[in-house]
Amino acid sequence: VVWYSALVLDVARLLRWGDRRQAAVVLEAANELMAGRAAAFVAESLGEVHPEAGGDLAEMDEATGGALSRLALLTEGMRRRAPIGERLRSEFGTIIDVTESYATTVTEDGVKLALPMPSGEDRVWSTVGAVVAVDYEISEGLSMLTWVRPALALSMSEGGRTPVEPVLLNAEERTRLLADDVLSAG
Amino acid sequence: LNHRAYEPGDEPLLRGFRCSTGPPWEDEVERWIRSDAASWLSGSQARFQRRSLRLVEDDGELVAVFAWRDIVEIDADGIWLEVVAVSTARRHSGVGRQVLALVRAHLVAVEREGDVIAGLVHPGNVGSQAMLVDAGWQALREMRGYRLMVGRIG
Repeated sequence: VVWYSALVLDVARLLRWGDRRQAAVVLEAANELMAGRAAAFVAESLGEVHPEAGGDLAEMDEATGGALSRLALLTEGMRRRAPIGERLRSEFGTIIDVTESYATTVTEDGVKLALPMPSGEDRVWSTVGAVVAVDYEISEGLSMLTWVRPALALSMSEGGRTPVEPVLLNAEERTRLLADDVLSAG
Repeated sequence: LNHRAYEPGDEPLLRGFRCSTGPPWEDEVERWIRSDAASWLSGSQARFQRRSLRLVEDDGELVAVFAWRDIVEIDADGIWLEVVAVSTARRHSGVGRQVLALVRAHLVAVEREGDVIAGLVHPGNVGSQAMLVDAGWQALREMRGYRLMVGRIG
Protein backbone atom coordinates (compact mmCIF):
# COMPACT_ATOMS: atom_id res chain seq x y z
CA VAL A 1 0.00 0.00 0.00
CA VAL A 2 2.80 2.38 0.91
CA TRP A 3 4.65 1.48 -2.25
CA TYR A 4 1.65 2.32 -4.38
CA SER A 5 0.87 5.43 -2.35
CA ALA A 6 4.40 6.70 -2.67
CA LEU A 7 4.26 6.37 -6.42
CA VAL A 8 1.06 8.36 -6.33
CA LEU A 9 2.89 10.96 -4.26
CA ASP A 10 5.41 11.16 -7.05
CA VAL A 11 2.50 11.69 -9.41
CA ALA A 12 1.38 14.52 -7.15
CA ARG A 13 4.86 16.03 -7.23
CA LEU A 14 4.97 15.87 -11.01
CA LEU A 15 1.56 17.50 -11.23
CA ARG A 16 2.69 20.20 -8.82
CA TRP A 17 5.60 20.90 -11.15
CA GLY A 18 3.22 21.02 -14.07
CA ASP A 19 4.49 17.88 -15.77
CA ARG A 20 1.18 16.21 -16.45
CA ARG A 21 2.65 13.99 -19.12
CA GLN A 22 5.16 12.24 -16.89
CA ALA A 23 2.64 12.15 -14.08
CA ALA A 24 0.30 10.16 -16.30
CA VAL A 25 3.09 7.74 -17.15
CA VAL A 26 4.05 7.17 -13.53
CA LEU A 27 0.44 6.71 -12.53
CA GLU A 28 -0.06 4.19 -15.30
CA ALA A 29 3.06 2.32 -14.19
CA ALA A 30 1.81 2.25 -10.61
CA ASN A 31 -1.47 0.78 -11.76
CA GLU A 32 0.05 -1.78 -14.05
CA LEU A 33 2.90 -3.10 -11.97
CA MET A 34 1.69 -6.34 -10.46
CA ALA A 35 4.59 -7.72 -8.45
CA GLY A 36 8.15 -6.79 -7.74
CA ARG A 37 9.39 -3.23 -7.73
CA ALA A 38 11.80 -3.06 -10.61
CA ALA A 39 12.69 0.56 -11.22
CA ALA A 40 13.58 -0.47 -14.75
CA PHE A 41 9.89 -1.01 -15.44
CA VAL A 42 9.09 2.61 -14.73
CA ALA A 43 12.29 3.77 -16.42
CA GLU A 44 11.30 1.90 -19.55
CA SER A 45 7.90 3.53 -19.53
CA LEU A 46 9.42 6.95 -19.04
CA GLY A 47 11.96 6.25 -21.74
CA GLU A 48 9.23 5.44 -24.23
CA VAL A 49 7.64 8.81 -23.63
CA HIS A 50 10.85 10.78 -23.30
CA PRO A 51 13.44 9.03 -25.49
CA GLU A 52 15.64 12.12 -25.32
CA ALA A 53 16.59 11.03 -21.81
CA GLY A 54 18.39 8.13 -23.48
CA GLY A 55 17.50 5.64 -20.78
CA ASP A 56 19.83 7.27 -18.28
CA LEU A 57 18.39 6.14 -14.96
CA ALA A 58 20.11 8.85 -12.92
CA GLU A 59 18.84 11.54 -15.26
CA MET A 60 15.32 10.14 -15.21
CA ASP A 61 15.48 9.86 -11.45
CA GLU A 62 16.38 13.52 -11.18
CA ALA A 63 13.77 14.52 -13.73
CA THR A 64 11.05 12.75 -11.80
CA GLY A 65 11.96 14.14 -8.42
CA GLY A 66 13.47 10.87 -7.26
CA ALA A 67 10.62 8.65 -8.42
CA LEU A 68 12.95 5.84 -9.43
CA SER A 69 15.18 5.78 -6.39
CA ARG A 70 12.13 6.13 -4.22
CA LEU A 71 10.63 3.17 -5.99
CA ALA A 72 13.67 1.11 -5.15
CA LEU A 73 13.69 2.16 -1.51
CA LEU A 74 10.11 1.76 -0.62
CA THR A 75 9.87 -1.50 1.24
CA GLU A 76 9.68 -0.89 4.93
CA GLY A 77 12.90 -2.76 5.61
CA MET A 78 14.81 -1.02 2.85
CA ARG A 79 13.48 2.35 3.88
CA ARG A 80 14.71 1.89 7.43
CA ARG A 81 18.14 0.82 6.22
CA ALA A 82 18.54 3.56 3.65
CA PRO A 83 19.97 7.03 4.33
CA ILE A 84 16.71 8.55 3.11
CA GLY A 85 15.10 7.18 6.26
CA GLU A 86 16.89 9.84 8.28
CA ARG A 87 14.94 12.51 6.47
CA LEU A 88 11.58 10.79 6.59
CA ARG A 89 9.33 10.52 9.58
CA SER A 90 5.89 8.96 9.65
CA GLU A 91 2.97 9.30 12.03
CA PHE A 92 -0.35 7.52 12.03
CA GLY A 93 -3.48 9.27 13.18
CA THR A 94 -7.20 9.74 12.89
CA ILE A 95 -8.94 12.78 11.46
CA ILE A 96 -11.16 14.25 14.17
CA ASP A 97 -12.19 17.56 12.64
CA VAL A 98 -12.23 19.16 9.22
CA THR A 99 -12.52 22.81 8.30
CA GLU A 100 -12.19 24.57 5.00
CA SER A 101 -8.41 24.89 5.31
CA TYR A 102 -7.27 22.34 7.91
CA ALA A 103 -7.86 18.82 9.08
CA THR A 104 -7.13 18.10 12.73
CA THR A 105 -5.52 14.73 13.36
CA VAL A 106 -4.83 12.90 16.59
CA THR A 107 -1.79 10.66 16.33
CA GLU A 108 -1.48 7.32 18.07
CA ASP A 109 0.56 9.10 20.75
CA GLY A 110 -2.29 11.51 21.43
CA VAL A 111 -0.66 14.50 19.72
CA LYS A 112 -2.97 16.77 17.76
CA LEU A 113 -1.77 17.93 14.37
CA ALA A 114 -3.38 20.54 12.14
CA LEU A 115 -2.78 19.56 8.55
CA PRO A 116 -3.34 21.94 5.66
CA MET A 117 -6.10 20.67 3.43
CA PRO A 118 -5.58 20.38 -0.29
CA SER A 119 -8.00 22.28 -2.43
CA GLY A 120 -10.17 20.72 -5.06
CA GLU A 121 -12.13 17.53 -5.07
CA ASP A 122 -9.28 15.12 -4.42
CA ARG A 123 -9.77 15.00 -0.65
CA VAL A 124 -10.54 11.34 -0.15
CA TRP A 125 -8.50 11.16 3.05
CA SER A 126 -10.05 14.20 4.66
CA THR A 127 -13.23 12.85 6.19
CA VAL A 128 -13.70 12.69 9.95
CA GLY A 129 -12.79 9.26 11.24
CA ALA A 130 -10.40 8.47 8.37
CA VAL A 131 -7.14 6.85 9.46
CA VAL A 132 -4.21 8.54 7.78
CA ALA A 133 -0.46 8.24 7.57
CA VAL A 134 1.47 11.50 7.63
CA ASP A 135 4.97 11.46 6.14
CA TYR A 136 7.33 14.34 6.84
CA GLU A 137 10.17 14.78 4.40
CA ILE A 138 12.80 17.14 5.78
CA SER A 139 15.06 18.94 3.30
CA GLU A 140 18.44 20.14 4.60
CA GLY A 141 16.82 21.08 7.89
CA LEU A 142 15.38 24.17 6.25
CA SER A 143 12.02 23.08 4.92
CA MET A 144 9.63 20.21 5.33
CA LEU A 145 7.09 18.64 3.05
CA THR A 146 4.10 16.93 4.60
CA TRP A 147 2.39 14.16 2.72
CA VAL A 148 -0.90 12.76 3.93
CA ARG A 149 -2.36 9.54 2.59
CA PRO A 150 -4.94 6.98 3.66
CA ALA A 151 -3.25 4.62 6.11
CA LEU A 152 -5.63 1.81 5.41
CA ALA A 153 -7.95 0.74 2.67
CA LEU A 154 -11.30 2.34 3.24
CA SER A 155 -13.06 -0.98 2.85
CA MET A 156 -12.26 -4.59 3.55
CA SER A 157 -10.48 -6.74 1.02
CA GLU A 158 -13.30 -8.08 -1.11
CA GLY A 159 -13.30 -11.75 -1.93
CA GLY A 160 -10.71 -12.56 0.71
CA ARG A 161 -10.77 -15.81 2.62
CA THR A 162 -11.63 -14.08 5.88
CA PRO A 163 -12.84 -10.56 5.11
CA VAL A 164 -12.19 -8.27 8.07
CA GLU A 165 -12.50 -4.53 8.45
CA PRO A 166 -9.21 -2.61 8.54
CA VAL A 167 -8.00 -1.75 12.03
CA LEU A 168 -5.36 0.59 13.38
CA LEU A 169 -2.88 -1.13 15.66
CA ASN A 170 -2.43 0.35 19.09
CA ALA A 171 0.96 1.67 20.19
CA GLU A 172 1.93 -1.51 22.03
CA GLU A 173 1.03 -3.73 19.07
CA ARG A 174 2.87 -1.48 16.69
CA THR A 175 5.98 -1.53 18.87
CA ARG A 176 5.90 -5.31 18.90
CA LEU A 177 5.31 -5.43 15.16
CA LEU A 178 8.31 -3.28 14.38
CA ALA A 179 10.70 -4.79 16.90
CA ASP A 180 13.31 -6.55 14.82
CA ASP A 181 14.66 -8.32 17.87
CA VAL A 182 11.28 -9.96 18.35
CA LEU A 183 10.55 -10.75 14.73
CA SER A 184 13.30 -12.96 13.44
CA ALA A 185 13.74 -14.20 9.91
CA GLY A 186 11.03 -16.60 8.78
CA LEU B 1 8.77 -28.74 -5.03
CA ASN B 2 8.16 -26.10 -7.68
CA HIS B 3 5.68 -23.25 -7.65
CA ARG B 4 4.17 -21.16 -10.38
CA ALA B 5 1.52 -18.51 -10.86
CA TYR B 6 -2.07 -19.58 -11.32
CA GLU B 7 -3.27 -19.49 -14.94
CA PRO B 8 -6.84 -19.41 -16.24
CA GLY B 9 -6.62 -23.03 -17.41
CA ASP B 10 -5.94 -24.18 -13.85
CA GLU B 11 -9.56 -24.02 -12.65
CA PRO B 12 -10.03 -27.81 -12.75
CA LEU B 13 -6.90 -28.24 -10.63
CA LEU B 14 -8.25 -25.90 -7.98
CA ARG B 15 -11.73 -27.40 -8.05
CA GLY B 16 -10.21 -30.79 -7.32
CA PHE B 17 -7.90 -29.58 -4.57
CA ARG B 18 -8.55 -31.08 -1.14
CA CYS B 19 -6.92 -29.81 2.02
CA SER B 20 -9.53 -30.41 4.72
CA THR B 21 -9.77 -33.33 7.07
CA GLY B 22 -12.89 -31.98 8.75
CA PRO B 23 -12.22 -28.99 11.02
CA PRO B 24 -14.36 -25.98 10.04
CA TRP B 25 -11.34 -23.74 9.41
CA GLU B 26 -9.95 -26.31 7.00
CA ASP B 27 -13.32 -26.61 5.28
CA GLU B 28 -13.38 -22.84 4.89
CA VAL B 29 -9.94 -22.74 3.28
CA GLU B 30 -10.74 -25.64 0.98
CA ARG B 31 -14.02 -24.03 -0.09
CA TRP B 32 -12.27 -20.73 -0.79
CA ILE B 33 -9.59 -22.36 -2.93
CA ARG B 34 -12.06 -24.47 -4.87
CA SER B 35 -14.69 -21.78 -5.41
CA ASP B 36 -13.36 -18.26 -4.84
CA ALA B 37 -9.62 -18.12 -5.36
CA ALA B 38 -9.74 -17.67 -9.14
CA SER B 39 -12.24 -14.80 -9.02
CA TRP B 40 -10.27 -13.22 -6.17
CA LEU B 41 -7.55 -12.57 -8.73
CA SER B 42 -9.68 -10.41 -11.01
CA GLY B 43 -10.84 -6.81 -10.74
CA SER B 44 -9.27 -3.48 -9.92
CA GLN B 45 -8.91 -4.22 -6.23
CA ALA B 46 -6.93 -7.33 -7.10
CA ARG B 47 -4.58 -5.26 -9.22
CA PHE B 48 -4.23 -2.54 -6.61
CA GLN B 49 -3.36 -5.10 -3.94
CA ARG B 50 -1.13 -7.07 -6.32
CA ARG B 51 -2.87 -10.30 -5.44
CA SER B 52 -0.97 -13.42 -6.33
CA LEU B 53 -2.09 -17.04 -6.34
CA ARG B 54 0.64 -19.68 -6.58
CA LEU B 55 0.40 -23.42 -7.18
CA VAL B 56 3.00 -25.71 -5.62
CA GLU B 57 3.63 -28.88 -7.58
CA ASP B 58 5.69 -31.97 -7.11
CA ASP B 59 6.32 -33.82 -10.35
CA GLY B 60 3.08 -32.47 -11.81
CA GLU B 61 0.97 -33.13 -8.72
CA LEU B 62 -0.66 -30.13 -7.03
CA VAL B 63 0.50 -30.46 -3.43
CA ALA B 64 -0.14 -26.99 -2.02
CA VAL B 65 -1.61 -23.59 -2.78
CA PHE B 66 -0.62 -20.22 -1.42
CA ALA B 67 -1.95 -16.72 -2.01
CA TRP B 68 -0.70 -13.31 -0.96
CA ARG B 69 -1.31 -9.62 -1.51
CA ASP B 70 -0.46 -6.26 0.00
CA ILE B 71 -1.62 -5.66 3.55
CA VAL B 72 -4.72 -3.49 3.82
CA GLU B 73 -6.12 -4.68 7.16
CA ILE B 74 -3.58 -3.07 9.48
CA ASP B 75 -1.32 -0.03 9.32
CA ALA B 76 1.81 -1.90 8.28
CA ASP B 77 3.70 -2.18 5.02
CA GLY B 78 4.05 -5.68 3.79
CA ILE B 79 2.50 -8.91 2.69
CA TRP B 80 -0.81 -10.40 3.73
CA LEU B 81 -0.68 -14.17 3.43
CA GLU B 82 -4.22 -14.99 2.40
CA VAL B 83 -3.85 -18.76 2.31
CA VAL B 84 -1.29 -21.50 2.68
CA ALA B 85 -2.82 -24.93 2.23
CA VAL B 86 -1.25 -28.35 1.82
CA SER B 87 -3.18 -31.15 0.15
CA THR B 88 -4.54 -33.88 2.41
CA ALA B 89 -2.42 -36.41 0.57
CA ARG B 90 0.78 -34.64 1.63
CA ARG B 91 0.00 -33.74 5.22
CA HIS B 92 2.32 -34.70 8.03
CA SER B 93 5.20 -35.18 5.64
CA GLY B 94 7.04 -31.92 6.24
CA VAL B 95 5.53 -30.32 3.16
CA GLY B 96 3.97 -27.49 5.21
CA ARG B 97 7.36 -26.26 6.37
CA GLN B 98 8.79 -26.67 2.88
CA VAL B 99 5.96 -24.59 1.46
CA LEU B 100 6.48 -21.89 4.09
CA ALA B 101 10.14 -21.76 3.05
CA LEU B 102 9.03 -21.51 -0.60
CA VAL B 103 6.74 -18.61 0.26
CA ARG B 104 9.57 -16.80 1.99
CA ALA B 105 11.98 -17.39 -0.91
CA HIS B 106 9.37 -16.25 -3.40
CA LEU B 107 8.69 -13.02 -1.51
CA VAL B 108 12.39 -12.30 -1.24
CA ALA B 109 12.64 -12.87 -4.99
CA VAL B 110 9.96 -10.24 -5.66
CA GLU B 111 11.89 -7.75 -3.52
CA ARG B 112 9.87 -7.93 -0.34
CA GLU B 113 12.78 -8.75 1.94
CA GLY B 114 12.53 -6.85 5.21
CA ASP B 115 8.79 -6.31 4.98
CA VAL B 116 6.27 -7.47 7.52
CA ILE B 117 4.30 -10.58 6.65
CA ALA B 118 0.93 -11.17 8.28
CA GLY B 119 -2.05 -13.48 8.13
CA LEU B 120 -5.01 -14.80 10.06
CA VAL B 121 -4.95 -18.21 11.70
CA HIS B 122 -7.92 -19.86 13.37
CA PRO B 123 -7.30 -20.30 17.12
CA GLY B 124 -8.08 -23.99 16.74
CA ASN B 125 -5.41 -24.45 14.11
CA VAL B 126 -2.71 -25.31 16.62
CA GLY B 127 -0.40 -26.94 14.10
CA SER B 128 -0.12 -23.91 11.85
CA GLN B 129 0.40 -21.60 14.81
CA ALA B 130 3.23 -23.77 16.09
CA MET B 131 4.83 -23.90 12.66
CA LEU B 132 4.69 -20.12 12.30
CA VAL B 133 6.05 -19.52 15.81
CA ASP B 134 8.93 -21.85 15.00
CA ALA B 135 9.58 -19.67 11.95
CA GLY B 136 9.76 -16.53 14.10
CA TRP B 137 6.19 -15.30 13.82
CA GLN B 138 4.17 -14.04 16.78
CA ALA B 139 0.49 -13.57 17.57
CA LEU B 140 -0.31 -9.86 17.63
CA ARG B 141 -4.05 -9.55 18.30
CA GLU B 142 -7.46 -11.09 17.74
CA MET B 143 -9.41 -10.11 14.63
CA ARG B 144 -13.00 -11.29 14.20
CA GLY B 145 -12.39 -14.66 15.79
CA TYR B 146 -9.02 -15.21 14.17
CA ARG B 147 -5.51 -14.75 15.45
CA LEU B 148 -3.44 -12.17 13.62
CA MET B 149 0.06 -13.62 13.23
CA VAL B 150 2.98 -11.52 12.02
CA GLY B 151 6.54 -12.20 10.99
CA ARG B 152 9.20 -10.58 8.89
CA ILE B 153 10.44 -11.58 5.47
CA GLY B 154 14.14 -11.93 5.90
